[in-house]
Amino acid sequence: MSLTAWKGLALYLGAFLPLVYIAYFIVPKRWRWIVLLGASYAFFWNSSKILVVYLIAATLVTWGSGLLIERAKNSIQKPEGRKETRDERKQRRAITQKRMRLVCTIGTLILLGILVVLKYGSFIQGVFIELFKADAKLPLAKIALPLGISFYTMSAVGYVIDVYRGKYAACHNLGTIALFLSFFPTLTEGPIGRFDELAPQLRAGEIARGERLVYGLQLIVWGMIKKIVIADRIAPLVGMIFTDHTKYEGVMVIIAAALYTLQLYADFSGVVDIARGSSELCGITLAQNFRQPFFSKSVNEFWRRWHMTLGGWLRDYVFYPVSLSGATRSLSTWARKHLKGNAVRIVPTILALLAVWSATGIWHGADWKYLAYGLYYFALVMVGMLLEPLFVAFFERTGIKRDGLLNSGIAMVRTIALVIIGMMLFRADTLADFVQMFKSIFAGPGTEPLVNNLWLSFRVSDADLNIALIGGALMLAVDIAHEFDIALRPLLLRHGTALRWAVGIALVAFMLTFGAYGPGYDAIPSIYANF
Amino acid sequence: MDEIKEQVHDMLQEILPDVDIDNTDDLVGSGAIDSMTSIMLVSAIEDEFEVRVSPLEMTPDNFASVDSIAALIECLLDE
Amino acid sequence: MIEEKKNRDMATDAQNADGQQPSAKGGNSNAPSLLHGIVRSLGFMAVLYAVLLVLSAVVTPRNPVVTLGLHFPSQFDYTQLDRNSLDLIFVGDSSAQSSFAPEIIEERTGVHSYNSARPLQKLAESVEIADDTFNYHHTKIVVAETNNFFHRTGIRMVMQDIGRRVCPLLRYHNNWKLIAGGHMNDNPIGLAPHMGYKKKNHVVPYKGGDYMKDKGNKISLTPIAEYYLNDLKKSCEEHGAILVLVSAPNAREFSFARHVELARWAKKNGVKYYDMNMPSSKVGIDWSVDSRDGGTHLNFAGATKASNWLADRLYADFGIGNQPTKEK
Repeated sequence: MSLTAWKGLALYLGAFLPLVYIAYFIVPKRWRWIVLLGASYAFFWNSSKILVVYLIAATLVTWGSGLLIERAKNSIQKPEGRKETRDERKQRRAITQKRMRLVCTIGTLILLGILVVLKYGSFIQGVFIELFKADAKLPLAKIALPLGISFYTMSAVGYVIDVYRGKYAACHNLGTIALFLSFFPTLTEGPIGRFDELAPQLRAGEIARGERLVYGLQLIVWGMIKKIVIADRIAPLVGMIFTDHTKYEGVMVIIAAALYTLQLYADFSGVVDIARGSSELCGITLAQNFRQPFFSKSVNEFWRRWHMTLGGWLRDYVFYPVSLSGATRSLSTWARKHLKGNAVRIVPTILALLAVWSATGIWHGADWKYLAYGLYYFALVMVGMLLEPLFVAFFERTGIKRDGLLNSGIAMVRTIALVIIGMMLFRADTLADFVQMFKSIFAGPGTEPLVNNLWLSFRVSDADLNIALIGGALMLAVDIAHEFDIALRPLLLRHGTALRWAVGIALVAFMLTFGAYGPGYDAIPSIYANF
Repeated sequence: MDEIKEQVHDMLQEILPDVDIDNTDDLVGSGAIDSMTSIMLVSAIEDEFEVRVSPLEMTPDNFASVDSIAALIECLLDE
Repeated sequence: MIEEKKNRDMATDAQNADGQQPSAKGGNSNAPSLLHGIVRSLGFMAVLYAVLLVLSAVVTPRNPVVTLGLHFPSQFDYTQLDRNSLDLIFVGDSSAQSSFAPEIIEERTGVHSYNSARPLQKLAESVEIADDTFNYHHTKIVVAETNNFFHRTGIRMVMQDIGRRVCPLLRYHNNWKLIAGGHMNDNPIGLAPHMGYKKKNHVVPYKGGDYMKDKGNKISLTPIAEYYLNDLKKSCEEHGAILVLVSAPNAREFSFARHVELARWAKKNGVKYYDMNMPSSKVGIDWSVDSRDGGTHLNFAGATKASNWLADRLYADFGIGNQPTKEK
């Protein structure tokens, strides 16, 4: 597992990234992708050492599956000398499809299997032992995870399925596949890449000069600010309350959950911005992972704006296949025969939604609370769908506009509240802890620790909190601008070099001065890096 | 083709009663059709036209407008 | 192919959308604009550096002891002692901090010393501290414990060292809290106990065997470590002080291979090297009672032996201090 701690970041930004950029500069365009490949494996090795065998295994399986699917597709010859009849074509297609599907299934199962065994092995074992009351000694103790396995496995499976579906041809070049899976900016926290979007850029060998270089650096600085000024600063405070959660109630619990939500957003989007900036330096644009998620008016919308590449992946490779599967179709037919009204539309979607949300939950970790996290959103979505006719009727009767300002505002606040509760579950040590914390919200006002800022300690003083909140306000301002499609950087450029330089210098100075680094700050591991 | 378009139009209107189907340029981009409603639409399409839609066809381009949906159906009917 | 072109177009669009003057700084820039770009970048960095220096000045305390940024201000307490009262300074990591008790040494040979070691102190810091003490005292001997010659002497150490010298903001930035609280100009209060030595009385015996056996392997100082050691040596020479290397008793981390390497360097550079781990040194460490954590660090009993031994050797070899006053 990797720690994107300050020290790691310093080495990454101060030595690793400049070296990669310089190498990129020196090396001719055609070979630049090899620089990236080497750098990516070096980056991986630095973190996970011998576990690189898993990455290599996944790479070989992915590459091989693609090739075998292609081979299966062409495995039956068309008749020579004459045109194939419709029936013959149908027959041929059926057989080759079967073969292709076989390869796709096996490849996918191997890739997912590695992930499941490594990540969930000890958890599943624990469950079995619980169930059968065995007291076998666990041979499968907690194994270290290879860096980025949750991310690159998704990318790999996506590739295999895409090739099976005929979205694009299989890639014959092992190096390209290797680079696609190991590309260093995406190893720690994604975003999950799609082969047809990412691979051509990886091979193109474009280098960032001028504006693009500045853009990349700006992204990196902004990401750094989010991570080390905001996220790392709030972390000890959040940790303190969540660890001693039985000591707090009421308002304090809500504050803790809200602060954690800010911390997670700053941390995750910060690291992703550093990844995006790093990629831009190498002339590569990564997929967007956040789109001002806290402006969502529904939980559904939230997951289309938060961790977008995961949501997109689950939609394309879980939701649609399950929705269009035989099981769902049967359910659909049954529902149409036996149910009335809204239920006819909702019931068929249950399977697919259950699959997607369970996957969302447990992707984050091997623990009941993560499953609960996913099911929490599943429940919210189902409730939303069931209540939909009531909402529609309400808006019709009262004449309030659904997409008017008032309702939008209420919807956003409601969504944020629901998300914060979800985050409380996400952060709690166990499901039981979350239940205790949730109940304690109603146990009392819990405002005592707030009086005279008793709750703050030397480690996180009120000065710290103020800085974090200022940072949060800054993030909000930037998000607002983006939500209204105001492009900030051209705006800055229009007002002249002096202003632009001033802003850049201010940001770097802000980051270096208020960053939560140096002696006294334990290295804060990046939250999503443990996946 | 026009018959198909008409049927698609009616289906959409039923699934999305609040949306002005004719005056929306991009049904997916505007958020009118999302992953959930697209499944409902696909269900209706499959019943009505007796075709099978595969995950590969679940793209924003295919569902962006009445025309594109109709074109997709035409394509599926030809196979 | 089409994908590639589309992506490249996307990139140019991104560049153009960001307000870039179209042709000037595109993918394949021609010489003049590359130069222009470089000049602008240098200009920006110059202004940035100037601003950071100003901020550095703002957060740098008059006295390094008064600072939030340093976890172990005790290592700077030599600034608090009376000027020119120190004869000897200890630097190093926890091995040094746990092995040498200035109070014991003072009792033994009357030498005034201070233990400026701290856990996880890096070699670069040791060198910096040793060098800094000369600003406050006529230090005669610098005793560098050798454990941190072998740990954490990589690029990161160099980066941190350079970073902190070039831009003190990186070291003292946490003092913004002191400034916000109005405590920036406070005077430091009090000194660390026991002149920087960390006194612990626990006993956790070392149960392993002979750790100084020749296992046939070889350990080398990194070039970076050697560079800093040379720096230290030069600094001592410039200030007329003697550099002494000492390997404190450390059953878990020290080895014969380290001894060989350190002896080599010391011989090559004409520096005195005391290895307390060698049986021939006869320091008299009894691992069943002298360690506080199973062999890595000495406890007070062990440190007493080590400190007395060192004081005796320094008197015998360099004439530092008075005749050792041995106990019964």
